[in-house]
Amino acid sequence: MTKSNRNYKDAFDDYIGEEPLVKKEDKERFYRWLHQKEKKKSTSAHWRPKLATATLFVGAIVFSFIYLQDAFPQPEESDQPPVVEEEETIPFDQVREQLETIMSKYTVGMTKEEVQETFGQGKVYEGQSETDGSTYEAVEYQFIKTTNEKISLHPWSPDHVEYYINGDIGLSFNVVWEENGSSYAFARYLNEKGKRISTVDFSSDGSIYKDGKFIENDLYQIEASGFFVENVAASLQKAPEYISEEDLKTLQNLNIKPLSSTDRFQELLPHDYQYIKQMKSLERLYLKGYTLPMSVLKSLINLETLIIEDVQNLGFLEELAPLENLSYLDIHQTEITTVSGLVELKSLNQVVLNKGKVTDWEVLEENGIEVVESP
Amino acid sequence: MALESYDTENNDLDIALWPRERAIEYVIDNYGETVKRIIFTYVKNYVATDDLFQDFLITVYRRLDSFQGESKLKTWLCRIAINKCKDHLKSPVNRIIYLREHIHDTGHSKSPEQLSIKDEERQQLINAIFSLSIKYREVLVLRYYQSLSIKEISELLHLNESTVKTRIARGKGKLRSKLGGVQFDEIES
Repeated sequence: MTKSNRNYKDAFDDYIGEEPLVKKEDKERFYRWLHQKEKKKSTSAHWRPKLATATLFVGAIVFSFIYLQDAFPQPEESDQPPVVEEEETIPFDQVREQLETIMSKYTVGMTKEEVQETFGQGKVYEGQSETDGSTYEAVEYQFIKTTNEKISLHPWSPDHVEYYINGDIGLSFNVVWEENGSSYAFARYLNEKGKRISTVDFSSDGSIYKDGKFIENDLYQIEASGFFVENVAASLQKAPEYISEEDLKTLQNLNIKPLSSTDRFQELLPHDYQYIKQMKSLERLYLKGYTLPMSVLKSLINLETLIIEDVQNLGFLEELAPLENLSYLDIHQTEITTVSGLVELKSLNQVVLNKGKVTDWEVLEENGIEVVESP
Repeated sequence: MALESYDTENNDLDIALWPRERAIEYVIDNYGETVKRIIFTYVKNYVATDDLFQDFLITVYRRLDSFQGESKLKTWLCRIAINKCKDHLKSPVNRIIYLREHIHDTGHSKSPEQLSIKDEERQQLINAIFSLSIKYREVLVLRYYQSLSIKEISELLHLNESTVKTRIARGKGKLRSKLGGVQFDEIES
């Protein structure tokens, strides 16, 4: 490395911090996630002893409580100070009602005039996005406000949680219009337990998320991820906004693959799986970089052709046995190494696979299934 | 093949075949610091950096199968991290936060007495880079901090090489207008 490169690198490191950013807590946190994931998997197998332990534990607490009450008489009711319930935060029912009003009246794509006509003038502000330097215009609403104090929620930071906790504001709602014409919105409020701020995001692609979890799609007719709807639309050569549940029921050919470079890390949602299960007319399925749970795959009873690429594993292939019409399977661009389970599939005629990777492909030929190495 | 023999950068193209936990250990030990520092240059916030790094590790764990060895492991990892950062910044709330957040004082910077005039100029330059919008900041960070070539940056960001060059030139132009006379020394690949 040249001296000048080194100098810039050092200056960046000075800015970010000379101490290593990777700490042992990073590994610990990751392993906590991993172990919780594994624990979840095994929970169902061990529920009986856990239930017995929990029953015993609860029983012991109840017994101790009864015994202690008898052993130490409680003071008379009149001796106790009255309990005063302080109601500081705004009752959640009011907040929920306001949120429901927003969700029923706001639609992605509304103009500023339409929004102001629906929700009032609000506080108009402008800014510049850090992500691409583009400018935007926005309107902010502070609903269920109980104070005359002029509250400014900008700059937007977690410090402003106090306004919600103190009951000054029940819910804030921001609608933003970007210079490229797209718009999005978000609502923030104290969650029902009053512990933290919840956010409902109305994305420009129509997806609505609550605290990062998909709720519904406001733009497309079906309540699935934009990624899934766009794949269905591409398979049907229709615009995604015209894709209906009826289209899914009659769909015969579906490709699920990244449609752009940013789609590479998109994930299918459980909502998407529910729609795939309804595709009873599906005859050909092509999956690139994505797998479906076996429970979803085996529900595609009319499937004749299945092509899978860029995946490590599919699960126990014998579970595909309910696919009574599946005659062609292409797994030559996967890392699957054992296929003997496929002999359970009565209609399977041809399997395309990499003989160098698959160790037991001869079993298929012994059972009358043709094995080829390229499609 | 014994696991120990995987432990060199030249052999990590087949990381998808390793036991996953071992692979994650390897990623943290060998690329974690680089990745975390890149994440910081996007979000400029230590707490968000920690959270996004966890997200990054989980994604790598889940998608290790899809690493085909077509690019360097470092490039693949950086691409995941950068996509995570961009997704994070796309969230409406985060856009507003990061728009309004001023340049973060890390508390690690050297005092003015410790800095030579040249060092001070460079520090001002870095501060100015961190105040640029993402599209200019990322190319300058990758070029001048991570010392990547134009070709590597173009692969990482899925941009044409000419676009990368243009963004670097425009980014430098914006820095000049912010800082006046401060110039970039030409970097050697």
